[in-house]
Amino acid sequence: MSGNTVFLRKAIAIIWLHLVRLHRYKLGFMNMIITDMIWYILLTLGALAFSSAGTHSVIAVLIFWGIVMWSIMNNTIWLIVGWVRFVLAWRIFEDHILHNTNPILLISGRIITSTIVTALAVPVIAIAFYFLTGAPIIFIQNIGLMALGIILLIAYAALYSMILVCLSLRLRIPGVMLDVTNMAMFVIGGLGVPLAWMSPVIRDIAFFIPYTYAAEIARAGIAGIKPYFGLTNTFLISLIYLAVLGITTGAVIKYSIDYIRKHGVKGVGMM
Amino acid sequence: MKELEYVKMIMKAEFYAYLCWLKNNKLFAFMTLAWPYLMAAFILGLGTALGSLSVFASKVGVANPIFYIILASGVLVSSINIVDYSAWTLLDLKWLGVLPYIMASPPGLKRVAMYGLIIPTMISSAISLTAIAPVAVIVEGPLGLVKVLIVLGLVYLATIPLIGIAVIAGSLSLIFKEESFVSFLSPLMLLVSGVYYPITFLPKILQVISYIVPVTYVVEAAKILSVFGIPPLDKLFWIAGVLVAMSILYNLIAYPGLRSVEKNVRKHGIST
Repeated sequence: MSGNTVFLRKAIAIIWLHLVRLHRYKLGFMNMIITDMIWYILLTLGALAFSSAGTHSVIAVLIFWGIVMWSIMNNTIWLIVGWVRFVLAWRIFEDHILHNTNPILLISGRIITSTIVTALAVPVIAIAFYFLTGAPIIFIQNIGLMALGIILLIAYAALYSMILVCLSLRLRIPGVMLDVTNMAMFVIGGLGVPLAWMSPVIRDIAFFIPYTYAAEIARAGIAGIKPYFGLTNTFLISLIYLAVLGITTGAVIKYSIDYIRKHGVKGVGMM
Repeated sequence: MKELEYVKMIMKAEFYAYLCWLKNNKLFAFMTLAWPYLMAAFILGLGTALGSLSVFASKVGVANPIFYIILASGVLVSSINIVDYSAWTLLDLKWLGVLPYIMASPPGLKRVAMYGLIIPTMISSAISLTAIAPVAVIVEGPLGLVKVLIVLGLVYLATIPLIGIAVIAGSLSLIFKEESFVSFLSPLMLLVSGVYYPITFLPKILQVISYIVPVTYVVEAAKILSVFGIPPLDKLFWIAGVLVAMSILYNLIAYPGLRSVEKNVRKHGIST
């Protein structure tokens, strides 16, 4: 069999595994959706506590979709990186290496779980919020653009998570605790605030963060807010970032697996 | 007498294990210190990007909103640590395959699960709250430090009932053929406790639930303490009394509950 066929067979097996797990752990799956929805509400209410009553409905739309995008990013990272604990506790990490399958590929399969959780949680909470607050959050201007922005967001978050997975295996720190940048992404990653509305200093930082461009595309679809660089340019920049992040992640994974093959997995105790 | 010896032994072992983990993983200890600040910075950035601090202060009813957000973030991180650690420990032991040994040991599962969690959760709460002490001192002077210590004391009082709730929820993962289905507990408790907003923002049913959640009272104490100068102490004593009552009540329910889970697991084995 050619290398590509072998890889494809392994990838199908991993997808199958994650789908079977979703079916097998129904309560856990429901728990993830509920947890997601609770965080959306908690953070949205927290943000609304800062806004005056007269601006509630306008601000609610901006805050809600900003928090949804931030949560999609955060959820993808936490579900992928957080799974390292399970993989190490069940001692299946080394098993995959022995069977010549990259364990990082196995862990990255969690993107299936996170995407399904997001796809179920967001519409439910959006409709619930619409009926609770009356804010027009469910009236999307261009659903295709919104979907494209969100897919790019998930892709960036998944690639970044794989880098964190590799780092956590090397540093013995739970990967989720390494994700110190996620909190800042709401503002400097352009998830909550459009580039055009940012102060010049923050905008200069946001230019270098891939999420900014995915969020600009998604926001164009959600509320019709024109991206700072125009739609075509923003899309091109987002593709360049995707390629750069993809190449970097590939290199980090290769380096980590080579290191682990030589020195073993450092995953003891609180890891 | 024997019970006290078990408590002493388990706590000593857990204390030693936790210290060793921290000693061997200093970067992990450092990251634990950073999280309350990250959370506070996030909510401040989120709120001030689209609103103002003065509106927040009047809605939440605090005189010093920055001090409150920092204090509340410390409480939030501590609560997540307590509930998640308690709920996940049994699952971790199940995954590692050591539960049968613990059940066969003289103290048994119920004692290890209840007493063993107290020390790690107390240390992690102390780390999360002392981490915010420097900023509290900058904002409020030495009184800020006293206020942080009062909140830490109340978090310790809330730890006992929180462990009771989380352990019972976590122990269900030994009976059901599930991976984990209790991670919604900590955000749910934080949602109903009104950590970053007034409880009146919530629907009536969640407002009622908030009264039985220990975190609500710690958050309330943080709001009382977020005044300039000396806060009304009588209200804090009342909150401490409620938390003590909850500790007794919740553990009266949790301990027999855990005993029946252990009985079930001994009879039918651990579900995987």
